Amino acid sequence: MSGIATMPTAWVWIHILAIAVATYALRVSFIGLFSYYEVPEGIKDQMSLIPPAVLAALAVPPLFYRDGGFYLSPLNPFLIAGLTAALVAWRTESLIGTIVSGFGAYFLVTAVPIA
Amino acid sequence: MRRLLESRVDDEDRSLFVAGVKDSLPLLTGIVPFSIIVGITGVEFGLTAIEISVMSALAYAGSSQLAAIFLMADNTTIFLVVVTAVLINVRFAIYSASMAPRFQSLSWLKKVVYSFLLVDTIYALSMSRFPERKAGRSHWYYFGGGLALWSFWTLGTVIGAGMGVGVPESFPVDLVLPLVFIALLFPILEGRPSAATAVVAGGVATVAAPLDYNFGLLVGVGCGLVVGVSLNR
Repeated sequence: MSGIATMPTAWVWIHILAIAVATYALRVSFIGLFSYYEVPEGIKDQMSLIPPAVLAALAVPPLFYRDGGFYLSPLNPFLIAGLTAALVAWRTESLIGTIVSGFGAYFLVTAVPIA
Repeated sequence: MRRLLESRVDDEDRSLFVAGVKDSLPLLTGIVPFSIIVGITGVEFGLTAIEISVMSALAYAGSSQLAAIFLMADNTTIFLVVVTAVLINVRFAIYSASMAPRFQSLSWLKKVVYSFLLVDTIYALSMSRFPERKAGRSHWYYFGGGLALWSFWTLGTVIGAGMGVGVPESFPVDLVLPLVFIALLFPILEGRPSAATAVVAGGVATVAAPLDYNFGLLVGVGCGLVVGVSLNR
């Protein structure tokens, strides 16, 4: 999958700078430009939905869709890893615990020849 | 001349700065492991140690960096990389609005630097600690904490980039990012609207995954937000 290794170096740096500039623009927005504006609570509430939407849309597809095809078997090791990690993340909210349990489930499933 | 005198650093400023550094230290247990993971992941996906370290130092926003790595590795467009980063980081604009009145009277140089240091952790720290600090000087507390958090964040990525080189070939690197995103997702789910947003966004993005350049991501986010916003009323 990794297209980064084949990307021209200058193009990689342009990506890095673009992300940095866009993120800085958000940070400096109100502090630097319009200091008196108060964001209404209702808008803040709605905006707080954006990060969960993006993170879920990033997290879920790779569990089912890989190398150009859907992988819907219940024995799909990525799916089992993801579900295990989701359970641990939900109960513990631990970053390391979530990653370790996900990989643990993955190696368990791929090591044990089921079916 | 008076302005120069006023902006001079005295002992009280210094002790506020140190207090900020101290209060930020317990947060490092959460930040440094994440930063190390960003470093390892960057190198695993084909960035050089310098590239991922500079990315951490300048962008200073882990989730969006991982999203960018994921999308760049999948040969998507720079447009989608930037849009995704903006969506993940749009909360910084809210923090910026919230901090703006406290930084109102400061010099433009301080505003430029303090804006750069604005992340979830220093924002949370300042929100809970600012009121008890001395008016007009409390920004030194923000500066101390913010600088410490940024330094350790960047250092963590440098360490992770060094570790990433040692990861064996057989390791399923493609699994790292979904697991990290799952770990970042659950703590920010609060209540039914955000859970519904996540379920719909994840489901639709999966169905739309075959779309070129990962545009399924935006389709999923859009559908998730429509559902979440309508539940949020």
